[in-house]
Amino acid sequence: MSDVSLFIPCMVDALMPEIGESVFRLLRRLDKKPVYHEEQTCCGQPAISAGYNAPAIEAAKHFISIFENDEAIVSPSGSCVYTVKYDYPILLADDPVWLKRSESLSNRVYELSQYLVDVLGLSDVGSVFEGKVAFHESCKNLRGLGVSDQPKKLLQGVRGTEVVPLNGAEICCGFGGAFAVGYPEISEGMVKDKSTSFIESGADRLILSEPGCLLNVSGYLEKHHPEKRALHLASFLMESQEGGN
Amino acid sequence: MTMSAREAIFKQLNQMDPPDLKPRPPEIPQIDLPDDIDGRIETFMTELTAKAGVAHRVENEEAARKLLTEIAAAEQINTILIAGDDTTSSLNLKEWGEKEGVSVLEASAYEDKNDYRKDGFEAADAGITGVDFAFSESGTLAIRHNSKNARLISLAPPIHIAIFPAERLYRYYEEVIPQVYAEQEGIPSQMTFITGPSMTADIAATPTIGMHGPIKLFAIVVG
Amino acid sequence: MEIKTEQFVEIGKREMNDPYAQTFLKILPEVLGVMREVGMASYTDPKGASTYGASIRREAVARMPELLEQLESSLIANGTRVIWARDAEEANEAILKIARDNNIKYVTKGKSMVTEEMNTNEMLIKNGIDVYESDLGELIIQLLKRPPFHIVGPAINVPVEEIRDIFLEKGIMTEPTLDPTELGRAARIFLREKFQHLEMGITGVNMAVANTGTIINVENEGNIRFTKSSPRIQVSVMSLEKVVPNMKDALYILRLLCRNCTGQKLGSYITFDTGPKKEGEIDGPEELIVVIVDNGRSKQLLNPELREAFHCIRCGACLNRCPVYAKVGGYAYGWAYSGPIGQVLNPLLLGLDRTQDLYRASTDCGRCKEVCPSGVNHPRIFRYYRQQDVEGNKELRSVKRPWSERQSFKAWQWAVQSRKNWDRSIRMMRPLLNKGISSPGLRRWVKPLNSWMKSRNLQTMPAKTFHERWKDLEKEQSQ
Repeated sequence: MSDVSLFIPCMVDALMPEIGESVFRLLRRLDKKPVYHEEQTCCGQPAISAGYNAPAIEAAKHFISIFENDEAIVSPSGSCVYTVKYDYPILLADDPVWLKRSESLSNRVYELSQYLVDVLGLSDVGSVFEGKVAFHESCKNLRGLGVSDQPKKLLQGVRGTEVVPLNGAEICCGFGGAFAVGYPEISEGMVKDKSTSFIESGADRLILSEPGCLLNVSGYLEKHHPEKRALHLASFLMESQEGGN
Repeated sequence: MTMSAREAIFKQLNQMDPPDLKPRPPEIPQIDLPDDIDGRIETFMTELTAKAGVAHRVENEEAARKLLTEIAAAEQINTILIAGDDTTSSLNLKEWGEKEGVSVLEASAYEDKNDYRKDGFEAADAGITGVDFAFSESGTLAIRHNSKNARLISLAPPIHIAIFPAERLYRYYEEVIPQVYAEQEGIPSQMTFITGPSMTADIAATPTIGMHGPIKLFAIVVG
Repeated sequence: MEIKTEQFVEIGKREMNDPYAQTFLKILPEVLGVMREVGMASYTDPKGASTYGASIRREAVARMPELLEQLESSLIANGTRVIWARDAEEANEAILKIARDNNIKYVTKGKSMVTEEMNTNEMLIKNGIDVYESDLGELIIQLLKRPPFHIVGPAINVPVEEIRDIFLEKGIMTEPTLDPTELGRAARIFLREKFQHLEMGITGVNMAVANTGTIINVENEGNIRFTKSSPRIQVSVMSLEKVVPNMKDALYILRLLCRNCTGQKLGSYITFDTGPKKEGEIDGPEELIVVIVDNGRSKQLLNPELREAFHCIRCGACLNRCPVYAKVGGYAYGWAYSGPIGQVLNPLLLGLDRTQDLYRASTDCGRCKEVCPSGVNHPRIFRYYRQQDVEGNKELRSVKRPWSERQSFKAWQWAVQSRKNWDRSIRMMRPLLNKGISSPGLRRWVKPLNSWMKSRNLQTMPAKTFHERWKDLEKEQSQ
């Protein structure tokens, strides 16, 4: 049993901790021994996105010092993984020592589905769900990390589940962090489209592998279509575990 | 003394770091297209037709003239403006016009540009030219304009009829165009690539064939 | 063109509430996107084609001083007159002088984005010279006095009723019609007369080939051919970055441009001009003048972070992919360039102070960058602009961020480096956030929360963070 280090995004930690719990329990079911470094705070993505590089560098260094000795670091957020893999080397480009430390970390950080499929070689994680699901392709996962086959493989591996197509699956849901509150009308238009596609797909559940997207879409659905459920991939796989949660 | 615009612009530009040029990635291979003459002609005709051009293939010059007669009748062409390039000359269009009752205006015969423009814009029902090259990859005609193949002939009249021997049909632009531009001498004042009649979709995204340029394009491949 | 970049939000909202615009935006970008895919599928390796195209543009921009010098020599050698212009004023002055020296009463214009930057039309008209935009879409927006809605189809969103009305009003036609083909024919007849008697034409430039001094234009309508070939004077206006090294590269870019723009293998007409007409030629310009315009570019070219902005070949593919453009349409971007490339170019040319919203109204989803045949990384440039506002950049005319934001990130920086501080912040925020979530009245004072909850629910912040639950989870693990 090798250790897997949990990288819990700040948004999950504070607003949706049950996603973190699902990741933990799922990895346990797969005979892993997840560790959680309690010093972790935030990868720095909000600062980078807003142009605040100096604070982001502090966050990066904090992150690297905590995680750099781990063999495998797993996160239920592709955008956070993207930040560590691709934004950190740019942030630290002028500091050769930290750059090296950052680069050595890059290929040990995984988004959850990447880890389960590419590293553990799994597609069936022991989940069962009779029904239809649709999958939203988060921008940073799909276009940033190139992760798309992996979550879909895991969904197809859920016994009894039919994965149905989602119109405009790879179009942005309108979250974009600060964008959602900075340009609320445009954001609402985009999340409304995503909600409409979900409803039109005939799926029982909308599965997302990005916490920000989930917060956005489920927030909109709860207000306008409370009967329609959107949930995180980890939560879905965990709650449909054979033998119960 | 104040700097000229040129000096000021270059003064700024020359502060750019010297280019750090990595070698280019490999060129991608050309689309695979049939190289035999029949294959080229077929591809050319398919491409041009898809772009709303009308493509014909005829055996020889006699057949070409016959086809012209048919087109003239169908399109009600009474007056044509013609180029004086090798193809149109060898077709002897003046004689054809006399025989068929079509009035033939030769672009090379004009002294006054405004007379030429007047006839090109107002009198000619069709312009007839040869072409220097044609390309099957996109159904394209290429004309090197000069005193023998003036620009407005294939532009002002509402119909353009282009005639050319099959030997001038290539697959890819790169087969001949870079050579045209290799020597300063050989470079025409204007070369035009023509791929179909004029068109627009600017109004409500509704495609319309025929905008400012010719409304119809006929391409006749001889051979 | 009036600069309305500061009105992005206002105009965006207006367009989102315009049913006609929305119908168009729901259909058009997607259709153009599909056409692009079909066009690109004609390559053996579509991704490789874009990668190679990007390498040509990267090289052309990196070698710009050398290539522009070579272009100038080649142009002069083939008898073209070259005029350099630092800014709009110099370029317009030169164009006006040519018109005046030659007693020009009117010009026809081929589409030229750089002349829209420079308000060249307004300048000529003010000086008593009529200007007829000859591209159908450009003609319509000229008559309606509107900015372009889409880089490829500037009037594509205008209802036929409005076109009929303005055509009748301005004497383009006398008989009313709503049929797009009939309207096009009316414009054809109207402009045909102008082309026939044309003495001076003004065009833009798609590409300028350095080693031969060749000016290249792409079109479907034929108006550029007329504008170049009917008059005795041709003025072609280009911005610095239009230069490419040689014909082989130009042919390559032409294929990419046409496929990315409209899905065609080639536009109906491509003209390659190398010097004025030769002896014995009856048509073609006696004088060919190329105006090379800087208008703020050389300054920004010095910045390696911004060099990619100059790779753009104006294909418009990014517009068709952008989910934000699909909501607000072209007008919201407020200037000559719209969509993601507008968000890259307008700030660079006008200053960050006038374009604050343009590079912030993006989720950085990356669909633009993914499709770009010239290697522009739009989201990276948006982030760069935001960074410049934070760090301060005089060249770009950055704007200091709001005090509240700066303080928030100061606090964030303090908290992020220590879990203890982070926890303290959460414990402090939790009750405040939850109060705000449950009280619409209180929410009004917290703009982000209020904006969010106008259209979405927000669950209250759980009593325990994941961090706080870890001890229990660890216990689970040892069982």
